[in-house]
Amino acid sequence: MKREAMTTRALRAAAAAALAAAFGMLSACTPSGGAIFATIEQEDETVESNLPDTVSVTDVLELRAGGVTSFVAVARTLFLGVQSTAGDNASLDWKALSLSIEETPGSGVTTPSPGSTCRSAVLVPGATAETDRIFAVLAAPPEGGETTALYRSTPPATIAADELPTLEWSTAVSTGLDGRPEGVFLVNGELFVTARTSTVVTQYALYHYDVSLDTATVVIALTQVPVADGAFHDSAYWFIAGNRLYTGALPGPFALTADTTIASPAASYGGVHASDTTLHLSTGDGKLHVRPAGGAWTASAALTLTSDDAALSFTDFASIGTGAGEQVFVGSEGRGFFRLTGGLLDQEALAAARMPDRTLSELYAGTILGFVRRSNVIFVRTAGAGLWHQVVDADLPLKGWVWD
Amino acid sequence: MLTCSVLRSAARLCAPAVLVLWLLLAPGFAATAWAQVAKPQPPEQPLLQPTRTLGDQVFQISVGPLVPLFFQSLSGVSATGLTLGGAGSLQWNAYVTKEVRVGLEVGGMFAFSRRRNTLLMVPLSAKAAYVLSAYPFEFPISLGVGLNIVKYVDDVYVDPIVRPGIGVYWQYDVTWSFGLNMVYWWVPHISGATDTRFGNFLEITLSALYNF
Repeated sequence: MKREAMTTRALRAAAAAALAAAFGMLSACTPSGGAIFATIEQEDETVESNLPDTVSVTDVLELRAGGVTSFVAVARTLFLGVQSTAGDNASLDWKALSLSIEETPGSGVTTPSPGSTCRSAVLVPGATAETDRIFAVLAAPPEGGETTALYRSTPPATIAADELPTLEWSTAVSTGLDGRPEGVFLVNGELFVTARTSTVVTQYALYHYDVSLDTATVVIALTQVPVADGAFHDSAYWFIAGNRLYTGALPGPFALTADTTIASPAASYGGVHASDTTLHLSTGDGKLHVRPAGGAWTASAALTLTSDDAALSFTDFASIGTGAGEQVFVGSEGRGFFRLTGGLLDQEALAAARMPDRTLSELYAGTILGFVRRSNVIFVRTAGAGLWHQVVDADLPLKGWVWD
Repeated sequence: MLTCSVLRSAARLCAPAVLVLWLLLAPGFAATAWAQVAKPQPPEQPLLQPTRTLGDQVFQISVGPLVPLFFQSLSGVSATGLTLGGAGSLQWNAYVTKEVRVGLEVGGMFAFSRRRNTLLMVPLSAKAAYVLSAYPFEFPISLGVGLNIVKYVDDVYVDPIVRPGIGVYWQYDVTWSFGLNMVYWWVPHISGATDTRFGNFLEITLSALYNF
């Protein structure tokens, strides 16, 4: 009798808990959505490639190799991606590239270095494909630690089917570059290198690297965090480092912006981008700023998705098209990305501006680290969901994303 | 006088024989008598076949796979694109007659779409069942009607739900039964002419019933 009573009580408790969970699920979500089954029915399967799903990509380089559409995804490993099937949004066949590094600078002799990793890489285009050069910060692991150095390589001129070329890296002579290189940027066709200039205190500098002279000149000194992004707008370079915005023209140095309307925000800057006519700036406290050429900055209010949500933390930008057809997008942490109207967003239009299709949850609810535009392909770099791409012409369709 | 003496003589002659006979047979008689005393009487066999009456209650837990069948729109039938999912439920029922029981059920299911998003449904329904018996088996034919909470990505909606079903249970003892159910889920999702869909799913679950 006693055991029966205990069993009965346990079953009643389980039923009560299940009911409570059901009502909790209902109350936790605002009733909405009127086409759930139709949405499920109309979903198409995500096209996937063979890049690791969670790889963290810092950039994508486009190779001009013998008519084959090919890219290099820059992560700790470099991946060569070749379009394997025809079609605008065909998947890419990705393979990890092996690194062969010049051990003795200037020797011209490279040896395979399987333990080396890539911190950052950019492709500096030459007059022809044969004069293109890839500059990278590679970390080679000697015993007891890692050292980084700036290297250069010549991208392959042709890529045959099923061929996996080896990139051979020679030390990039960089007179004037002090400290340990951390990253490289290509802005307005000019190469910039960030370097940590002190191992005692946290101190960084930004250098302009002249590829024809192999010399580096400091343009931003003594920042506490490395430069994260740069743009060229209104005949000046604009770089962000933490919550500092620097601007200037070559040969430098660049100065901290004196505009108090955007200087030193409470949160770090997320990204800086020059679209056709406008400079865009985002911050981690939910604000977007725009500046037309020769004009003043205009800012949005701190934007949130819902009234009880924290402010959106915006990241980097992308733009497609020009003039009246231009579209600008800004990424965010954990909320996908948004299509801007006039470079800004207002709170009422925010939900409708969110992209992409909400059923693509890896992007819709993902952290967008940044965008890379290569010809008519736009790549989206995410944190934890790898790399995505889509071929775009004049518009960015909601479908057609390929998960690399 | 003679008769008495003859009798006395006969007794004297017969007594030893009687004594011997008694000594030989007495143990047998004693053993028989003892056996009849020691052998336990078989207990009365308890009645195992339960009879349900008004007020008898049942708790039931079920778990098993759920098969998404198809979506019906106003213009035709289409595949759901969902994977094979899972379902489970808790029920409480009470008998109103020996064949009919009514109760409440709370359940849940999950399945994955083509883009690996999760469809969740939590039906809350009132249920009635007519129980056919062929001891030790029971065959309930049931109908549940209620509300269904549907969640997909960040959308939540509440639809009606109708769930006819059949089952077969084996009565392990008076208290416990175990069996198999097949329950059809019909979920009308009304949302305009183009987006209205009727969801059709089939639940196949194993159950344990506690009768009290």
